[in-house]
Amino acid sequence: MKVVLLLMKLYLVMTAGILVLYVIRHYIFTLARVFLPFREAYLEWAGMAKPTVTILVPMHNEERVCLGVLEALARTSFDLERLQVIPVDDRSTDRTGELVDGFARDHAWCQPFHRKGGLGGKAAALLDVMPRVKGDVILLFDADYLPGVGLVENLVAPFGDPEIGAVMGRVVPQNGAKNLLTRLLDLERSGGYQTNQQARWRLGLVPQFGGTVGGMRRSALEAVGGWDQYMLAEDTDLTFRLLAMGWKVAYVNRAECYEEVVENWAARRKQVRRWALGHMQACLRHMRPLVANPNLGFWEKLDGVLLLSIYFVPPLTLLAWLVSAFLLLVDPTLFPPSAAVFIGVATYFTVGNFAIFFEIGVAIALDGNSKRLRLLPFVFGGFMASLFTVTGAAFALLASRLKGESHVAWDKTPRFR
Amino acid sequence: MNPALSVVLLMLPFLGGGLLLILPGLMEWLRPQDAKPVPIDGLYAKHDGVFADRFRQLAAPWWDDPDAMGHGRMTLAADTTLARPILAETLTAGAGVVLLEEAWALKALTLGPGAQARALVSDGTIDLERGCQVQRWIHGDGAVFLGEDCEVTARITSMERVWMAAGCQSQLISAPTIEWQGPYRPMQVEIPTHARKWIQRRRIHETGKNWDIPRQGGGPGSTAFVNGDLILDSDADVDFPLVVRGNLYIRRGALIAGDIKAHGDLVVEGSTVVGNLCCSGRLLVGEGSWVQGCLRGDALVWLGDEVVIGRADRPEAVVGDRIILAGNGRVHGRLRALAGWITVER
Repeated sequence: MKVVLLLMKLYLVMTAGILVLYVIRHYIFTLARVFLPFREAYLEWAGMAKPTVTILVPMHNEERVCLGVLEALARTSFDLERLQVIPVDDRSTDRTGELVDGFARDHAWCQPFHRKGGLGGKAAALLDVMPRVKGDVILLFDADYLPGVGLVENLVAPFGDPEIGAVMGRVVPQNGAKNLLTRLLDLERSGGYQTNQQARWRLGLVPQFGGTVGGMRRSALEAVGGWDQYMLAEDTDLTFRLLAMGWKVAYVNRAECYEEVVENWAARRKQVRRWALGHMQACLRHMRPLVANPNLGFWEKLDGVLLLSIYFVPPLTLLAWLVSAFLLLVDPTLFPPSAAVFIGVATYFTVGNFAIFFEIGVAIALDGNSKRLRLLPFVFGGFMASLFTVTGAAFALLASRLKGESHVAWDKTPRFR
Repeated sequence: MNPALSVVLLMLPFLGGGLLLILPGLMEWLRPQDAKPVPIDGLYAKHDGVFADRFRQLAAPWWDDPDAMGHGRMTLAADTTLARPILAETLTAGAGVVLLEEAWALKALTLGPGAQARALVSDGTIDLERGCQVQRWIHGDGAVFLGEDCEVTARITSMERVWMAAGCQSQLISAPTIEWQGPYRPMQVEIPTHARKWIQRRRIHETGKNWDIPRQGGGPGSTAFVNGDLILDSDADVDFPLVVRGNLYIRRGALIAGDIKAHGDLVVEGSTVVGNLCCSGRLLVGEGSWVQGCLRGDALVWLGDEVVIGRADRPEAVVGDRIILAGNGRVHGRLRALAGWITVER
């Protein structure tokens, strides 16, 4: 029993240490975002660089939204002669294929691709469409996105730097006013992009390619082996494969695009579960090569490790809560005073002054929206919901690995427009 | 007292405190005041003359106002100070004139030596004599000429051409053709002897490939990464993207057709480059170079004598914390200093 108690205590200390590490990371990001000068040097090249560009828009039963994204792209300031847009009609059973074909009849740059079979998932659809891609740069948009006039130019500009393998823009919810969930997601997106991604880019760390409102150099994609259709988080997977071969991912905060966030908790749960599964899959695949990569500096590696492991934190936290409750009942004389301080600080920062709150608060202030800041305490509710979903996903992944399954099933995010 | 009641009473302050914390949030949730989507950038196409255009939109009705200044040829005597906007067909201001508001001329706008202005726009040409200062911007639909030591704090834009004499400075200059003329002192660069000389035409012939440094993926257009300093010799011929994790020196006569990046300094001695050049240190483009691509140097960008950037039909951008223009040179496109000035060598 003593050994079990000791192991439990060690586990608590370890979890507290990990949480403190994440807390420090979030505080550094937030302070860097506030105090370091941000110069969007690549944007000065916008409109000057003229590579050929292919925009891929994967669509699976998107009849509600598919024309919106194509009509928005038709208004782009980018030279249409250098642009190819491929709506990827991925095994749709609704009118998606018919609608995009109708649109393509009037727009030569729009060349739909209809996929009738094969594996489900975005990566599988992208893999199949690659032989049709003509552009040197590939951009990706989800079907519910509404790209602005200057967005393509802003996203293409960083590719003038030969070290940039992929570029990520900023996603802004367009239906944030719908209900409490969409408002919370609006806050979450602000924190994630305005503060987190931009700070990572500014500090020379690892901004993440998010799989939409972004793109990659075609030669880089081919060099790292193309899309892996068995990866649920093909974006995270690609980020780390590019990093492994020397390329960087650029983040452009001013390349903003409206998206539609999910409007009910069931859809949100599915989405978080898919992200968690995919991210954990990517973590298991890339952790070792990342640490061994000779081209990356210490801080890049550390940030990469923390980024890859982020979806393992909720199950660790949940288990730590259970363990502490158990220890409180069984052995109230928990730790020496020094460890108690350590755990106290970790608890305060995770539950009390949640570091993510700081990040989101700063992002909202930078965006100039002060009144939505009042909703900040409710973010904790969203965090709690995700905690259980991500923990469930971790167990699902563990179960699938034990069964010897190599990949996990893909769920489509429903549309609400 | 009932123990249950005492527990409830004890909890009340905590519950009240918790409610106080979320009360503003509840109000915002139930009666939203700030729920519109965050306004985003990039919805509309932009151009560098945006401030001048906005001013012209704002001031257009003033042409019908009988009290507005101008309407014809307007001449201001030396050392005059005016504190209202000027609209005129042509405006000629003498030495030391101070214009505290914007001035708009339909044909030509000329400021005498040492004049000061807030912002200037002309549908025709703009001519500033030596030592003029403009607090905000200058925009000319025609050519813009700046005499020696003129300073325009924010931006100089023209639909046609900008010409600058020695000592001129600004933070953004944009025009189909930007030319300058100043004294020329060559920049001394020490090339370390330990740098590797890898790319030579002889080796290209021997291998039958472009060169023998492994490139990621090996496909056409794939990037080559090199660790350490690198010298591209005068007979080098590079036709693919190249990233050097160190300093890069491109000798006079080397042919470059691909985007180039160096993590340290990047020195182009005098070559033809078709591709973008960027570096994390100083970017020095030596005399006689012709670059058809964008330039970005995180520290300093120095353009030497007879340097040409871009083509008339294909503008390019030069971006750096500071930019120094030495001798005579020409840029088709725009120059942008992010943390200091664009200065024509004095």
